[in-house]
Amino acid sequence: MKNFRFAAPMKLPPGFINTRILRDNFKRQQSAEHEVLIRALKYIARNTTLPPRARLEAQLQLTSMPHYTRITSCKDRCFVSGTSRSVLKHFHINRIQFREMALGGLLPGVRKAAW
Amino acid sequence: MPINVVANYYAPLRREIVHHDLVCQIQIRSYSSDILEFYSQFILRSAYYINIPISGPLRLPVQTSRWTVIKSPFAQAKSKENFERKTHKRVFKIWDSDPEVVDIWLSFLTKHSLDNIGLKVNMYKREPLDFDKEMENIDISGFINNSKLFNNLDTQEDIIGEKVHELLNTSSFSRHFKDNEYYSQMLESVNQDSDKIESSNGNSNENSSKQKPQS
Repeated sequence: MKNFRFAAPMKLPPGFINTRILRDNFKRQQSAEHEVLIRALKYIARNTTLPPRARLEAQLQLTSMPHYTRITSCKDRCFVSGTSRSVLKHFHINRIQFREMALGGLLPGVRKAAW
Repeated sequence: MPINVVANYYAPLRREIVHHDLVCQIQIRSYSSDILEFYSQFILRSAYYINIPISGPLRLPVQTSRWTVIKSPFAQAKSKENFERKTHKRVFKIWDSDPEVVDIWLSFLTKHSLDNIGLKVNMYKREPLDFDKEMENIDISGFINNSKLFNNLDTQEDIIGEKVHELLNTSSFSRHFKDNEYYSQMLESVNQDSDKIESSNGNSNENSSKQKPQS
């Protein structure tokens, strides 16, 4: 697949694919790729024994990196529907999908609670 | 009927615990308690026939996880629905038996295990009091190199350390070291140290001793 859309070549994620899922997955791949560089630059920037100019240089390089290299820009998305809102952490699915699957008996052990 | 078949209609027989030497602890867990009861009967009866003294089942507290979601796909956020999942756990303790026999018995248990049951085993081994002296002589380098966990940790630290070296030696960073005598000496000494370590260690996996710039 030609990458006309993103700044760097990327792999397609498995399962349900959506524009927003693609965008999120691209960020994940990029942040994984740049993790070592970011860690090293942060190490230099925070090391007080290094010359201040070198630390400033590291900080400038960090800020000049594109935003999609940050892991903080990634958000949990529903595996089934791709929505980002009210995704249950434990199952990685949206509340609507969760309710349907739980009532359908697709989630082992999950049942309607009454107490 | 043979007597062992008749025994299935009565409470499981048990071997007597004599020395109270704990060998192994088994925990089984499942989302339904019925299946656990059935499987714990199987554990008790098979332990009796292989001459293993066993105590249990001990009931651990049920772990309940609950989720509350909005019923409707859109709006009407006041009406919600509750879901829950209960994890039941049972613990067995195994006493006074040979670890090899216990191993074979455990493989028998896993071979005939049921669906939707998790099995967790802790094995205990007794050592003499001077075991600390033996521990110093144990060669763990192979373990550290083979184990995925240690390897990952080691390499991850290493990768970042190497990257820092690489960055500091690029022109954009090294020019800031040249202005000041103190900093230029520091960079030289760090580079020399890393060269020495590389030449002495060769290509060994344990590069954790490789120094990052002085902190």
